[in-house]
Amino acid sequence: MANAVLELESLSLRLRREGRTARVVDSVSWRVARSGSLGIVGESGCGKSLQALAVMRLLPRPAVDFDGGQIRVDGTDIIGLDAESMRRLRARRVAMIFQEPMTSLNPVFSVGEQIAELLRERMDMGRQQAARRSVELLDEVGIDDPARRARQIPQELSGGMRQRVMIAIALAGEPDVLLADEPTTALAVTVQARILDLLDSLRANRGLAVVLITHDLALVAGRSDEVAVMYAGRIVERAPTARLFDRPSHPYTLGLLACRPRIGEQRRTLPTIGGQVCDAFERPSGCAFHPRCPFATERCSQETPALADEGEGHMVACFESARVRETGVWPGV
Amino acid sequence: MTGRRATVAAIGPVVLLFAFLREPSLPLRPDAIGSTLLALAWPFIVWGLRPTGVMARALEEDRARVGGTLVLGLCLIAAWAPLLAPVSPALQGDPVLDRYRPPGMEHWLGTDLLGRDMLSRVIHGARVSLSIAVGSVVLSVGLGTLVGAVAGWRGGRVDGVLMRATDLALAFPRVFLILLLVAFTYPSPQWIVVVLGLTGWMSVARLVRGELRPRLQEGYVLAARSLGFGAWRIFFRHLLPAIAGPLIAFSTLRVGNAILAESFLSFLGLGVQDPWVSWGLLIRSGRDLLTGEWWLAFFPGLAIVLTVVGFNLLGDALRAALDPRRHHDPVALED
Repeated sequence: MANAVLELESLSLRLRREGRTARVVDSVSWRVARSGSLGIVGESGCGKSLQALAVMRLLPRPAVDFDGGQIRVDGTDIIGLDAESMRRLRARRVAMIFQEPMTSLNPVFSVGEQIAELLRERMDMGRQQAARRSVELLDEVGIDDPARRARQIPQELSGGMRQRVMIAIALAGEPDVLLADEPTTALAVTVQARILDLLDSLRANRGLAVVLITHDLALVAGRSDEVAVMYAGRIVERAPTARLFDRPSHPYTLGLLACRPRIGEQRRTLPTIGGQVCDAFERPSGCAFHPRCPFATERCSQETPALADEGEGHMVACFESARVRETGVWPGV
Repeated sequence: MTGRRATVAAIGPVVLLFAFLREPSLPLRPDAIGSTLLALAWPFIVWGLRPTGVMARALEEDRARVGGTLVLGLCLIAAWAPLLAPVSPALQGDPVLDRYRPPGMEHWLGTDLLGRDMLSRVIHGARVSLSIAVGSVVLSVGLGTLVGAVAGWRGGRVDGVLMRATDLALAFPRVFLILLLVAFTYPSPQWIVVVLGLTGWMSVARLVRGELRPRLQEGYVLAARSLGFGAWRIFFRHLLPAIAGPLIAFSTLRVGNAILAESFLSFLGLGVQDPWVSWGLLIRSGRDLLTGEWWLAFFPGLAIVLTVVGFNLLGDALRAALDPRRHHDPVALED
């Protein structure tokens, strides 16, 4: 597909620690088109954030490094790109919003100055123009009294406002793709909705492509065209959003769906997926999920299932996917 | 608080008045005019500068107050040397009567072989010794920061090459390097600044590189990198403020070290030479006479001790105040 602005093709990342190496991201492929949006969902430590850092080429090397595959921005592989070209790509083509709104702003400059810094450095704006535009941007992300807020330092703003400042900075470069790593985790639900609405309107109006990285399946439900569920560095299921919620075919997806609280439900205790995410260095044989999987068979502990197309863009990596889809509920519910 | 501030501010005019009473034309002499201007401006400087932030926090501690007072006092003595010194450091007395006079009413710190007033010489020595120390530390910290920053930023092979080069430079005994550099030139104070600067950057490079490396993946630094800012911009605007704490504290400690290095060089006869006066040079001229004319080496030595103690106390307190994880015991930095 030529219209993909960002495309990962069997991207692998390796982690090196004390002389041992492990694949923390293993042959991950996805793409996102203009105005499109993709949700990447998984537990902490499954490699979601590392993918975003890989796209920005900001991996904490040499601890984590590329281990094969391609990252294509508008068709060009950026893994081999020289530092200067990569620098020019950042913010203007691909921008990222980081998880921690508390630490991602420089504590010694006003937020207005920090937005203006990007506008002047990367958008070739003059001092006055940049100052004016930064107030506009603060207004766009829904900050009241933006002119006054622009003069404040990050410590004077609430977590939600800081997160919106971060978004304003990311949008200031007018990127084609926005990687949003848990963009709303720290925020109140109403603010969450406003920010996601903002991203939706930018998709519609500017053709921005959004990659939403989160642990919260509910968040991506109404917000992305496609969802990729990750477990232990691999995509275990990928499907158009409606279809995924409709006919989950991987036991892990089923588990994630079962763990959500639902309105109007009587049950008081939420089901959980037993066990915990495996360490990257102690990957179980076969399918990494099999020790926690109620559907597991003998085969699952020996062979690794590949991501297979089940039709209509629904990809699943599970030997028992037919049985899972048929059952449709997490056992024990 | 205001009272103490007024006292400090008054020092300038008092020094000026003292000089004027001794000799009315003294404040306007060409070599003293700079000192006079500083003395006049001093009350305004004191009034304008209020210790804020880190400085204020550091000054809550006794060791910082003692260290700060010592350092400030010595710097002022150096700055106002022409106004404070009783006579010119080069003025020779009567070859018979004024030779080796012990400390007394006329010459507080005695006289040397040529009848020169030791108090004047120690006061003027402060100028040379402190300038060399501060200058060489500025040079070595600048150089070390550059090497450490490039190594930390680039990582990989550049890091490897630069840090191995640093290790190599560190493996040479410093004295040997200094002797090698000094051997080819006539030692002037400027040259000594260069020599001490060129042999002292290694530990700074290591410090900067070590402090910088983990911060590249931290919060706003990572964010700044993701915005495609250039390396220098990120370094000066986002990284340097973060590592300024340990760097400033370390530099302060290095000043004491540089004073000792300068006196050591001068003591060997490879440092400052006549007609310049430095504390190391003064000690050297008195080294053989310690049992008899003890004052020749004792007072410059005392000045060195006070300086080193002052800078170390100040540096220690700054390091504690600049440490984000306060209330920890300070860990000794190896040289």
